Amino acid sequence: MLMTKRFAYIAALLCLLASCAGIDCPLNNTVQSHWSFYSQGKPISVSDSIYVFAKVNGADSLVINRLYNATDMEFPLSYYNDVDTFRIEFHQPDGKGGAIVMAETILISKDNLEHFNSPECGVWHEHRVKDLRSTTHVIDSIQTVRLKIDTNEQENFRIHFK
Amino acid sequence: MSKRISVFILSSLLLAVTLMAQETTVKRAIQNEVAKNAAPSFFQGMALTVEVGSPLVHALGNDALNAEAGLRLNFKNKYFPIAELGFGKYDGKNNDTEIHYQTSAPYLRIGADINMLRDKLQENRLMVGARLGYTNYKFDVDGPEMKDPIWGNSKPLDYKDISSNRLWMEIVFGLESEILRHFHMGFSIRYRFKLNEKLPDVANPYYIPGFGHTDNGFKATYNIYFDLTKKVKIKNLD
Repeated sequence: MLMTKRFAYIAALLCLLASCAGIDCPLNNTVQSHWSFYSQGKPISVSDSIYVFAKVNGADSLVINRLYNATDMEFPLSYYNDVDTFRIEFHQPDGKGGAIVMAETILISKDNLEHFNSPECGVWHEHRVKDLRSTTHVIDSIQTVRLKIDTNEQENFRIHFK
Repeated sequence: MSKRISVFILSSLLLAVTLMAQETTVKRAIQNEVAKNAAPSFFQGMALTVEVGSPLVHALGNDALNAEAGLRLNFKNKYFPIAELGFGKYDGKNNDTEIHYQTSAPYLRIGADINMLRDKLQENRLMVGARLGYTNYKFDVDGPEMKDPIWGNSKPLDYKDISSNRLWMEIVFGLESEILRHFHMGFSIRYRFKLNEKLPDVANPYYIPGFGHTDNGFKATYNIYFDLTKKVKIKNLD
């Protein structure tokens, strides 16, 4: 009888241990494209103030507002469009959004991949880049480092300035 | 005359000692034989088992249900091969995201337990074992429209019949005790881990029939066993 009681106590403890489980969403639940700035093959910080606009139905929609002294930037792509167009504006380096110095346009062709994770964490909209083109006023070239744009926060593109 | 008496007494003593020694040897031989024959025979019977923990938790409001029964053999009260067949389902909606997940499918586990207690004839058992589990299932996900916060266009969240499967292993630690004649109850804690699975591109499964939520981890089970045959068979000494 004593043995049976001991068994019951141990079993209850085991049940308590087994009931400790939960679902954790990742800290970063947002899919963003990650861009680094390079010049002559080395990472640099851009002293100009940077603004990035997405073309939405012909109009500009601000996605990055006045980034300055930055070594990199990140912004989301569209959930469902096959091609996204972005305009990057470089303003005078006063940190207050001075006069525009130069602007570049970037076109990104991509496949969009929805990925359901869980009812708690929802759906992520990931992308696989197919093609990337840009104007070349101050940009020399854009190097694609990682085609897949997901929640991993890894570098996708390197902008090489002239 | 006295010499004859002395020889007689000495002979009697030697005979007595010899007889006693022979008796001890015979007793030991009989004891050994009894002990040998009293060990359980190889096949000790079989039992039906039903897992009652998951239906109880489901009745209290849990979204998941695994209805499961099994057939267990008993070899020498030490080795217990078992097959567990079940039907698992999940039907739940997250209140914050309003995303609904649904699945239902059968699953199968096969494996064995070993009774680790020295006294195999007592009513309690301390089991250590393993299971190999498999399920082939489909799941549905639906929820509110997914609206792009910048571009503004949207699309419904509605995935149907997404096919997947999983092969997994369970390490079992269990306690079992007789509660009534022919009836045992057993608690077990199981560490489940994935061996192989087919993952769909569009969605991760959220709940897998027979396995539970997708991450490896511990699960508890509560089983009732019904002995289909007599508890212990001792070989006849004759």
